[in-house]
Amino acid sequence: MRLERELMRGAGPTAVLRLLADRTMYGYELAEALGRIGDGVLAMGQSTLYPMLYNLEAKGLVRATWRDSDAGRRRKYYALTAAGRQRLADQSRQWSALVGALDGLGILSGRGR
Amino acid sequence: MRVPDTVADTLARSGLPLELAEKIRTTVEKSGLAPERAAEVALELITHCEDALAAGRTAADVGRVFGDPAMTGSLLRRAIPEARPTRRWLLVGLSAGGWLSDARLAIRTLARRPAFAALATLTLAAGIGIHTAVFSVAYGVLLRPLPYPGADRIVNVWQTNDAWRDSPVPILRYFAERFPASYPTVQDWDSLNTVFSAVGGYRDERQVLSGVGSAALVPVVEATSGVFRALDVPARQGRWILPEEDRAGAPQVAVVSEAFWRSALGSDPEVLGLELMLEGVPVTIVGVMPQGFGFPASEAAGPEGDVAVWRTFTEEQRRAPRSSQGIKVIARLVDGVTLARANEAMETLAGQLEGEDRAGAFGARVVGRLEEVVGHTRPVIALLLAAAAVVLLIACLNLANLLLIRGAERSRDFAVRSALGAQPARLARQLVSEGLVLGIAGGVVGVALAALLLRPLLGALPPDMPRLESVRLDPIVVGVSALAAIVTALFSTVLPVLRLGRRDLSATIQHGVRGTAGRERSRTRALLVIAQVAGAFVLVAGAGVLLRSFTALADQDPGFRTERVISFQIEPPKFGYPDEAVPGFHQRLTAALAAIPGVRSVGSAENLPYAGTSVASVNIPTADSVLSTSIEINVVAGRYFETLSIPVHRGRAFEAADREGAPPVMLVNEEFLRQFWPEGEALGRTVELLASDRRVVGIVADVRKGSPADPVPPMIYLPLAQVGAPTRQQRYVVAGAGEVPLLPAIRAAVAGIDPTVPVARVMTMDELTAEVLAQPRFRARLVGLCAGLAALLAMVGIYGVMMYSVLQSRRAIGIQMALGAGRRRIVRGVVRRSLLLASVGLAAGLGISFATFGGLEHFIYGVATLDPLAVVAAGAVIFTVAGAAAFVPAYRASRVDPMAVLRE
Repeated sequence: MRLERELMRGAGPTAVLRLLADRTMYGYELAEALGRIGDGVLAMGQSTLYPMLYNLEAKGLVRATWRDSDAGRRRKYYALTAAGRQRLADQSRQWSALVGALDGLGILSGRGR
Repeated sequence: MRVPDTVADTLARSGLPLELAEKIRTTVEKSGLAPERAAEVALELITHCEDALAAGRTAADVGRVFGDPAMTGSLLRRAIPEARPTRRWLLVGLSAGGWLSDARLAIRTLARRPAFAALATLTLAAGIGIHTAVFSVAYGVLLRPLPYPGADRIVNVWQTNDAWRDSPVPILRYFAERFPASYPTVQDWDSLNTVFSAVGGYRDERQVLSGVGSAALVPVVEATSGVFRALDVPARQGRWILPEEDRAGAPQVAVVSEAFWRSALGSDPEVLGLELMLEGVPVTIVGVMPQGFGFPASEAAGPEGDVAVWRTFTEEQRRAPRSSQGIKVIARLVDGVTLARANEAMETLAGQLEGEDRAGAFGARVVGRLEEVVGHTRPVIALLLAAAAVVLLIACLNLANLLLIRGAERSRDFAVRSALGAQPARLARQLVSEGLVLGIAGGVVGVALAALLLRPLLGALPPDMPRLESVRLDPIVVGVSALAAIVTALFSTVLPVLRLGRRDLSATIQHGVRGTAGRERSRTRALLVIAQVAGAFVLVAGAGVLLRSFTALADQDPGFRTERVISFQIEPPKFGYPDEAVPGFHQRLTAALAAIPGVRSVGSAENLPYAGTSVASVNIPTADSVLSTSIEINVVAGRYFETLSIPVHRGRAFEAADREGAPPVMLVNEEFLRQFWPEGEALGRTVELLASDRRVVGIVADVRKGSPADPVPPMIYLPLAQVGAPTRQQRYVVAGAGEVPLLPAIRAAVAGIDPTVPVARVMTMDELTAEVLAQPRFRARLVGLCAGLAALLAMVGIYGVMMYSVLQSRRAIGIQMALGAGRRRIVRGVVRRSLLLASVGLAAGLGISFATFGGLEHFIYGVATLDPLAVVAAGAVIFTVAGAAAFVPAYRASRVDPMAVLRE
């Protein structure tokens, strides 16, 4: 299943921030990790991932640094900034509220028809 | 909008499948990001794709997941706030950062092909090295300013004499343009001229210094005060000679050199006021010149040694009449006065002085000092520069060839990059960067090579080459070489870069460089090799001609024998030996020397062959009149002719009976007979010379004077005992019977007669002859060195082209072999092509030689400018080189495995 673009636009950045809250990752790692979650609903191609990352970077929520990996390759690693951590907390609250509200409507339990 | 070049490069190097590279290219192109950012994004996307491929995904899969590149591009543009579409990357071609990254890329690219890089660097280094070394000599000798303040305003002033211009005597023709002046003339010029701030007279000679250690002949310059004012170098201690000290009756003073002060005077701080005994006359030291000041020797030739003392003229000289002319003149132009104006002014002044008590009608001529010192070396230095330039040119062609071959190897790579959006200008820039990197590397190695070459080169230069001590690798020379290296390298990239413009991309991507482009390219390379071979041939043939000329000179019969003959100079000092005592002194010395065991015979002469010239006025009665002219004379004593094995053809040599008071006699040479008495009868005829009628008692064989290339002049020989006012200096020749070392006994014999008389200029006659041949030997050697380098470079050129064409046509060779061609036939084919290239180059070289070798006329003797033997030998060298160069490629061709090639 794939999410509609509008939904992805809200959920994608939050998912990325959440993943980066655990550890720094490079683009391909992020893409792989996103693809493994929940049947791949959050999977995104480079065409979505990288514009999103650059946007987060431009807003100061993530910080990117070029580093040599163990394999000797140069990669761009992304890490959460303090502002990013704050945004993740805000977003988590909002998503909880949203999910609670939607659940109240019976959507999450499949009664919303 | 196109993608920045850096992105195209990165993509081309990544090795991604084309469809993925294409997606990334479009993404970046649509994003309109600034080049640095675009390159960064591209790199990240490439890494991503590579990771995915490495994880086992197919390219199609990765491409599908990638998404729509156009959309990604516009998303990127919106995501990155600073990424407004920019034209900045259009300027990247001019930005230093771009060039720096280009240089880095070029170095990495070259490092991947070390053999190519080394060959290219060494090729260029060889050209730059020889050129730098020769240019160092040219600069140091011809161009570096003389070591005086405002040196370009220092000039020499000579007297001229039109009447001598067409004289049969070579030395007079020389004097017609540059005759020294008399003491009164120098004084007049100094006080009456309007164009000089100072005029000084000087005469460099050797004088006997006594009272400081044992008596020695030291290099002394007699100078007027004007010399110091003209040169304007302050004394390091004390003062210059003053104008009032130029006058007759003034005290004798001297200024000494720093080296003399240090070595002979023990760095005595109280040196001022000390007295030196020069020629037995006390001279007071009034100054010490700074280190490095050595006028005129240090700027002229070396063998006379550095000047030790500058002193006022002797009292006798100060009182000499205008007819006594032996003083050279130096002057300093007033600011703003040109040489032409100075010449006019001096010609006028000379005309005004003519009315006075002087013999002959003398004009005056002003010559720049630097021109005076080095002007005569210009032709030989031009020859060397030309030879070095040809080597550099060959190196340049060679480099162009190597770059072309390299370009051909990479044409597929370049085509892919073009397809990915790299602009041709961008690729050109990369080629140029590689050329630049090679240029810098070749320049650095070349200058290092020049530094190594310079010392042996200086050692090989003839000792009479002036100003060698000012030859070094200095910043100007290195700067010029660096420029030459870079220009050479850039020039070498012109052809490969032009190639970029016309290339059928899709064909190249599919087939590499086979096809028409490849054939055209190989034609260009063939032309380059032909040009190299032509250049190498010209140099080898030129060196051959010079070598043949040198051997012709060396083999030429000088008219005397040099084996086992020692020569040295003896000059009895004036203070112990008045003029009339001189012949007696030499007579006694000759007898003492002859008594040494092992001495076969002893003689002496005022001038030895190849060294020195004296001239006297004579009245020669000819068939119908009396001819008044000047002629070369030589004053001899002892058994001079016998010692040097100069045959007396008719009559007799001088005898002991030809003493003072006896009837005056003389000998003439064969050339004298030919010029003045062609009817042949000479014995018994008289010539008026040195105020007396002298009877010819013998005819001697012609002996070479000056260089062996100069024609023999008519000569008169006089016996020392019958010359009223002899020159004091006699050059002795002593022939030994065996291998007995004679020198200690000779010194003892001289000391036995007078321990204060020094023995100077000791050398064997062989050494003297070798000195004369030094110039032609040097020319042949140096041009030979250039020729060797040129042949080597041409060999590398032929090798490169043949090797490349073998590698390119492996398929064709394989097919030939599969069809039954033997290895020998394959080898023959390669060698034949190499020899064909060499033949065409040789023909071109022969044409160039025909057109240019006329310029060698100045340097050669006894051979034709296009000497057949030299030309044939040069042809043989070139063919050998071409054959050797084809050897390895031919071997490689014969090792081609037809089956393997056909399966490829």
